[in-house]
Amino acid sequence: MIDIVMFLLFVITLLVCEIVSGKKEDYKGSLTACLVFTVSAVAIIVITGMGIDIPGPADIIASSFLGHK
Amino acid sequence: MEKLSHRQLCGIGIIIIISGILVSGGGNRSMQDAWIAAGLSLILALPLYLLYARITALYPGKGLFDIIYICFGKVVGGIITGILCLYTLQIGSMSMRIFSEFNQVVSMPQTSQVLMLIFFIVPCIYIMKKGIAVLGRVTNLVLPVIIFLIMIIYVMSLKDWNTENIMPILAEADGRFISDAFTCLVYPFGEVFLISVLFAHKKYGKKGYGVYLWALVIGGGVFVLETLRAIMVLGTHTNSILYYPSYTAAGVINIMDFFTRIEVIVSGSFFVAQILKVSLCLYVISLGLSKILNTDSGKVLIAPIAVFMTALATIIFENTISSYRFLSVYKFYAPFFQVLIPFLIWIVAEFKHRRFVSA
Repeated sequence: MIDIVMFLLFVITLLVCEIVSGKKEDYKGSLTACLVFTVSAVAIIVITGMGIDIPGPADIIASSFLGHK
Repeated sequence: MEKLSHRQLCGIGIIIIISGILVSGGGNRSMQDAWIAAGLSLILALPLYLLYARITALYPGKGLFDIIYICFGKVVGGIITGILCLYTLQIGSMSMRIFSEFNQVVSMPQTSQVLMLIFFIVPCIYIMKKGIAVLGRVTNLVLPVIIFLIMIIYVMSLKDWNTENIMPILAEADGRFISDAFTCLVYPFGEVFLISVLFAHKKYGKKGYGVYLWALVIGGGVFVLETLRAIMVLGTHTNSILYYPSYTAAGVINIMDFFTRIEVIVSGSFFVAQILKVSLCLYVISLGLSKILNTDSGKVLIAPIAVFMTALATIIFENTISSYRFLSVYKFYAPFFQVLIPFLIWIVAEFKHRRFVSA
């Protein structure tokens, strides 16, 4: 739970910094990408923070080559 | 456009090589021949670096992504750029996780890795928000210090050397050191392809060959010496069972009970080098994505990419053991990104360049 809170605080702080320092026109063409990255990141942290195990890309690749641990 | 000098590019290349091996060394499976495996990987990396250098030399003033778009057009170029961006995202996440795992194992077992990763990524975001020239200047500032400190540790540990530890040379006939040499080739040497992207920022003048060759000589030299030091100090058995042999070998140093706990220098250097490497990864991904999205504002993508990279780093490995397990697989699939794609780019770039010259 503490991981989720810390990560959300981090993301909100970054978001505030971006809004304060950034210009609207800078985001032209890349706003969707920014949102996708941020929402995916929060989703990963929230899901894993709730105790649901998401296999990481490296673990998936290693298991597909070497079989299960 | 911000410019990088020949020396700065070379420094970034060296940082990529040494950041991966400062605490872990290389070729641990091949026991007393691990240093030979490291040296062999250095030789194997030479043609690879000449390939990277040739690609950038064909199109002066262009980075790898520009060259991909010139050679393959918008659609195929976009796909290849996307694949390389994904691979760079993986390199960045892996580096972050290796850092947090190292910190948790050696010094802060109770601290949350997410917190470590957050503190790690903030300076990376700051550096890249300030621009690539800042990364170049920071590298120029810290690299000589890191290399000086490594050399000091090397000299300090001379009294603990036991030359018996590297004997008998090449006694194992099973070719394990060749397998280890290929592992060392993909990690850390193969990851230097990242600096090809920065050639768009290179100041005009010397060609790129020197950048790669100096990075190989200095970075590779440090790599071989670090591996040799770990074996000489710890012995083959201890070296092969430890996850961080170079770090442990530095911890052994004790000069008249006054100079002790030197390993903190190693972990400090590792920390700085990893920050620079991850910053570079952030920049490469943002540049690639801005190419794909056809936007000039790559800088606004840095913070969201960093947030995603942090989240990915929390799940990319389960623990230190699985990171080493992954390394045995990494040598089979990393060449696709480090060798095959650059080779394809080189073939097409050479063909297009010759046709342009003859026209």
